[in-house]
Amino acid sequence: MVSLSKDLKEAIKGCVNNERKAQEWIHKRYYHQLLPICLRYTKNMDQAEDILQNSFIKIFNSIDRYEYKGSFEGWLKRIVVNTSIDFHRSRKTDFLLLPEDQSIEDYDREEEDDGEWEFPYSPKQVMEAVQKLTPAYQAVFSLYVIEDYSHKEIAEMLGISIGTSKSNLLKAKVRLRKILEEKFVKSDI
Amino acid sequence: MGKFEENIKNALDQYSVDYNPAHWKKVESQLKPAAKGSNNSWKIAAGAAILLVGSILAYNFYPESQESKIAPVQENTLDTPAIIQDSEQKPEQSITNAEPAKPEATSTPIETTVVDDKAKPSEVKPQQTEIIISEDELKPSKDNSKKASGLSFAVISDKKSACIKEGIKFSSDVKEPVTYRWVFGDGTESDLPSPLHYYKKPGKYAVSLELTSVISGESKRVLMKEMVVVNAKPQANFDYDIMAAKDFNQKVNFSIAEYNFQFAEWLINGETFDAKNLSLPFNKKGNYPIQLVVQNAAGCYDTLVKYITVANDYNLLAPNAFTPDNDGLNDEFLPEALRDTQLRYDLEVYDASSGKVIFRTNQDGKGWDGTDIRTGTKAKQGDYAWAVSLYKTTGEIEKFKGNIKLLEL
Repeated sequence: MVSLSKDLKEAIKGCVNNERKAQEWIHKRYYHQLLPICLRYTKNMDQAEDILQNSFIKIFNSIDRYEYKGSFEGWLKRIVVNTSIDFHRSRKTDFLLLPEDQSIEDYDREEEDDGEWEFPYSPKQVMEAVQKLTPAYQAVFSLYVIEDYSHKEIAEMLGISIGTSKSNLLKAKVRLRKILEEKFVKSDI
Repeated sequence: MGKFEENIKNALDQYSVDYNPAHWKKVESQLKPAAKGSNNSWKIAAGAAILLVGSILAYNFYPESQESKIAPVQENTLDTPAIIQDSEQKPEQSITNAEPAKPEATSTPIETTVVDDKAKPSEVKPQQTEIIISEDELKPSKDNSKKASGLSFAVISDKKSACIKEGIKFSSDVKEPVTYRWVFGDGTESDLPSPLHYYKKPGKYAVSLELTSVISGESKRVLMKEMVVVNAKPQANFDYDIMAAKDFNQKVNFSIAEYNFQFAEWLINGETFDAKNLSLPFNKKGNYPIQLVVQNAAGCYDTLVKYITVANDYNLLAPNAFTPDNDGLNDEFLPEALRDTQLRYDLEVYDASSGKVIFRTNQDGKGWDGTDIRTGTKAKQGDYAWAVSLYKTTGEIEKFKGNIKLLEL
């Protein structure tokens, strides 16, 4: 059992009773935290809000199954991540494989000066760069770096091999850095 | 975790969004009707929850094809407002109406609102194929099934819907040795046990299988309960224009030529884009693969790769020859793009054979008039190399280089 604030307990109870006010309260309270998750698995705000919408519907329809075992926030986040992954899977236009020459180029840049690299990018620029990644890279990068899943878990979630998960993570990082570098150059001209 | 990932993670943690009340309205519109009185509502909701749990348990406990056993639970759940959501949750299966043991089983489709986090792409609206369930009990096979004592089988397909050019695998669970005659509904047949069939036209097809027992000689025909749906494919096609260089960029415009899709995605230089029309810089000459994937509402997609050829490096629109003879025409060498720029630049000209710098300037709008700064005299007719460093407002220095021919007329 975790201890939740009184307000939150009331709200969850209200949601179990299917009370609008309580549902809106939860929506308002967690929108800020959950939308950025969706943004990381999509290309734009529209897609992200669609996923969040589906997530909230799942949340409210199954809130009676929240067992007060882990944090409520964690429970919400898991639903949102899973909904995002479903979206990613439902998009059949998935570039899981990039052309060969592309990957070679990526690997060449892989270990370049990781140490003292300056980081002059704003949260907004980083988010935009993440949204430019291919879906496969987006998913692996977000799951591993942000959501702290292991390669084994990611492989199971995405239906890929552990090796693919690892190599996609490397390529995603290189690609992300390249996008950021190019974006930074271009942004102010 | 590397420094880079940490930086990214921190930046993303700081990313903030404004609350969007309109989003709540959208969510609300899809929720089951709200509880009215709170006391009352609790009972309904609790009842629903119990039923829900009941159906979940039942559902998990009896795998597939045992619908008849859980049917009573479902009938109850249909009455509660809580459960009218996702009726498509039914697992992938195609039980035929000819199952003699439990003919009523197939008439009650599973209705659950088990809201499973992992369950299919959720309600993501337009991508889903509409699956038409044929409700007709098909007379011939039913009659057959009553007569048939020995032969009992179900017809199964690996998917309920497919795209053109996507194969559907059909099979049956018959146990005894039989001969097969599949009729696919598009005028073709097969005698393989598990044929993989490709439909050539979009539509709904009724598929049937006639089996003849090798042992008893008995024949039976079973029609698949659900028709298979074959969806049309969109056509990926795009046009492109290589634009005249402008603002230190040589851009290529892309536009989609066919509008029979719902989603479009480009893969260009390792980046994806989902805009319908794009304009991207290509400053280095070369052949670039441009991939476009379009997907229609049914989830069928088509991919096209075109190679575009960028003939020249973008070179600041520099001329390749000039005539420093004070006639008012081409007396000075200066790349065109630098003429009106606000940006700082260094222009250097080298003697092609010795590699020595013979001219250097960083003055706005001033080019090389042909004078060799080492001697103060006019340089000879011939080939020279130039290099420009352009100081961008971002602090980045971009380098350009090319050749220039000095002509004496």
